[in-house]
Amino acid sequence: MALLEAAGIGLRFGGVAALADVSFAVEQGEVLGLIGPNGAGKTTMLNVISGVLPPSAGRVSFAGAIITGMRPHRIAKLGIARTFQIVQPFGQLTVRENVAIGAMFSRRRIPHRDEALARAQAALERVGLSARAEHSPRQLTLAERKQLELARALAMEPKLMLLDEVMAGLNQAEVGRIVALIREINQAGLTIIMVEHVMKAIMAACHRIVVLHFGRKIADDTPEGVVGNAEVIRAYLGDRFAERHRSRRGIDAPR
Amino acid sequence: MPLRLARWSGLALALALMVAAPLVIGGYWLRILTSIYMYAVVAQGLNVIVGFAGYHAFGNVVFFGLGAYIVGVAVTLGAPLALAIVLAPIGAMLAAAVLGWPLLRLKGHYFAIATVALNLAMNDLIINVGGVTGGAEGLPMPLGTLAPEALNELVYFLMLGAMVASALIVLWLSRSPLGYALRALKDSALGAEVMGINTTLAKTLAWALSAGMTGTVGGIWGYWINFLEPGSAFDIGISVNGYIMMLVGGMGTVLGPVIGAFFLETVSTIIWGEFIKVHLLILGLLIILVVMLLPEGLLFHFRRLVPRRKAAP
Repeated sequence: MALLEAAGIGLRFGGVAALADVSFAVEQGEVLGLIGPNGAGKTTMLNVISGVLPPSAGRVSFAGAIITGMRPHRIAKLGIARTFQIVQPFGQLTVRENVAIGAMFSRRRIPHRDEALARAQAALERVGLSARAEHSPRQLTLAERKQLELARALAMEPKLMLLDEVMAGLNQAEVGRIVALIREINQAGLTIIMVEHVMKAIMAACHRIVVLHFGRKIADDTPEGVVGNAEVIRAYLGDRFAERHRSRRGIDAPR
Repeated sequence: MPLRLARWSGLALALALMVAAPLVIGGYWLRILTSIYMYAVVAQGLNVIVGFAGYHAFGNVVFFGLGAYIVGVAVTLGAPLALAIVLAPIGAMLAAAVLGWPLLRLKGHYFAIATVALNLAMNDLIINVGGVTGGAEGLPMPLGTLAPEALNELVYFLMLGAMVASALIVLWLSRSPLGYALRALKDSALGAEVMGINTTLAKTLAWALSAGMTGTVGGIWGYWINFLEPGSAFDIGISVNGYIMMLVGGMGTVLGPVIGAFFLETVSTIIWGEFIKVHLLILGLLIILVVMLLPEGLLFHFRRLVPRRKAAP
């Protein structure tokens, strides 16, 4: 049985269908990429899974239980962690305390401050941010804030992690480090859904990719399959390019 | 460690002085100290909901008035003082929990305005209910058996106890999961929710705690002045004073509101004695200066004066 299953998800904002009849499943231990052009509904999909936005149609089930309509904090306690594309640090708390929140309130519910802080320290070391533990999140660079988001999610010890563009705005070396980290935590048994625009990262980290376009699913395949998918190319690059691409395909196949 | 020891022994000394004060000082200064303690608790109550959770409850005086009327009505109906003073925070907390559920959905200034409106509504409610509350005419409470001096001393110690208790509660809060939840949701309610924090529950608990503190001193105050009227029990000036004290002392800290209360009440008493006609003008200017020059609060700047000694390598 899949760890997470989204069935027929629809979400309308007024007259705009942000998501329409989207269904997919994530198996235990998988890294699933969620890609698509701007406005395709990727972040909206993560908002539906994490309970931030209740869908207008369909349902989401996690580990066998239906979680649609649950408040975000209940879903978090069931073992789903998420990061935000626009980072949401808690400015009143130090970096370490920010991460400790994850340990205090999520699945494990560690009420003891020192123990939560110790777990936070471990998570910070894992993402390479332990030198900044006593700083305010306001003092961090963008790359460090993204690492902080990751550490907070890690400290929740989730079963499923939703990553929303954790690599946007990072340089090559930083992207490489985060990809390595994602692989490492996945190998430790964590299932991951990642929304990302950095294709190199997606290709390197994902087992499978779901492509959204205008709120609809247009592909659900291996990374190699998705790259060669004519509809995906059309969505990203337009009809003319797709035409040219098809005629050249024999000579100049995508890597 | 020595710094910590110095801090705790300093606090113990200050507390011993406050306990011994009635032996030395006269009625005038005893009353001023009593009102400092009272305001420290009002400021501490605001500290919980504003300093920690970031919900600007300008109308928090509603719980002060509620506490006062609970004690007033209970004592008038013949309840012993001890029972009445326990009922005051319970009533205030229940009111905050019930009203907080809908009101705490409002954000920013909308919440602030709603609390002010709530205070006005409660004021009108007391006036219109009349009966056992005395309505607009006020509620004269039965005279106790205590001589005025003994009453003042009793109230002094009750207020002192309330101040110490509220500071200890905030100390606990600053280290507890609830305190962390509040400081987290202050900056990002969404971030807090997806990290497993039930923000509705945390906010409601915070406001109930805040109301309990405010209601307690409201109740003691009601017994102290012995005559209640809605206009003075629900006087928004009490909230405003507490708010300034919290800001001046340092919001979100454990001792800031207490320091703010001592500072502002003492300074305002001195100014009042020296410039009786323009004391509010001078006090107002002083507050503006403090808030502009020391926006982090006095406590923050005291701390910077103490050199931080690094641990020996």
